[in-house]
Amino acid sequence: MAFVEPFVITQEDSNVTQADGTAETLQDLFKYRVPTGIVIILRPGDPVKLHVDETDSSVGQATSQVLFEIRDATGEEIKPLLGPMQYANFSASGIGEFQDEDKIVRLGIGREIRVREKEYIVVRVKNATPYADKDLSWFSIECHRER
Amino acid sequence: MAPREQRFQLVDTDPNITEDSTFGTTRRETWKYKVPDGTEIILSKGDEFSLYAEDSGDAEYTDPGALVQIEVRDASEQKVINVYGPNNYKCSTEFQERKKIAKLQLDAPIRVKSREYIVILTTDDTGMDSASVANSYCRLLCTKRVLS
Repeated sequence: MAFVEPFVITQEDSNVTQADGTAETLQDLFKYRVPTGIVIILRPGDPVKLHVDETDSSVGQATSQVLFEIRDATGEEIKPLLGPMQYANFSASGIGEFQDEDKIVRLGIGREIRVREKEYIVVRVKNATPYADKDLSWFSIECHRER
Repeated sequence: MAPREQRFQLVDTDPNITEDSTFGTTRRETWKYKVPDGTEIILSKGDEFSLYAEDSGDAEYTDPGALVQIEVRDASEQKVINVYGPNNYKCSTEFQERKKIAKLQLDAPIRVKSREYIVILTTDDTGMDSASVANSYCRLLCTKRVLS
């Protein structure tokens, strides 16, 4: 019988691949592949948190473009999940907001979305020079998983 | 006598907690609480969780690279339910301001019975020693049910 429990996707998850950005290009920064036997359940209002650092260790620019999307297993079928929006939405205090309920970005989807095994949830960032650094940036999507 | 329910703060100094100070970059059972006989713990949506953690260099955990997770395990530790995380460290460091404190996002309450476990796991890039575990602390606000 399927069992649903709270779950958080972060940059440290072993199913996440990371890649440094390229200046002025909307590019995959973090890419989470749903593992076999798992369904990720995204619900309206689920918190989404992001901190972007640049390769020179300065905080990402407020006007950087951020986009969260879902891709099927082939990577060909793409559904936007959140954004495109400015990084300023995630960084109310100058750096990424990870605590304050009043300031955290939440999924504005109209209904529950199920992301099935081998599909992807991708965080894309377009930052000017210097580009976004995968080792200094971090994110979380607080959701549920079915196993 | 009918069971009594009361709000309960599970803290790292509870006598039913064992601590793990495994050194190195690993996912460690920093605090492991065994529910005592005659007691149940009820975890519900919105229950608050906070922690402060130091690594073996006596420095506070830093993101990215530090994760916090809470699991409920049965007495055999074979059945595991995830109740929080694994989330970035910073998400659960607030102890005072209500709107910033981390909260459990459970769909339904979970009853943790006698001899079952609530385990707070941490991961960081440096590791912990017994001194850094002693300098670290946590709090989980939940409900305790005394059966007798």
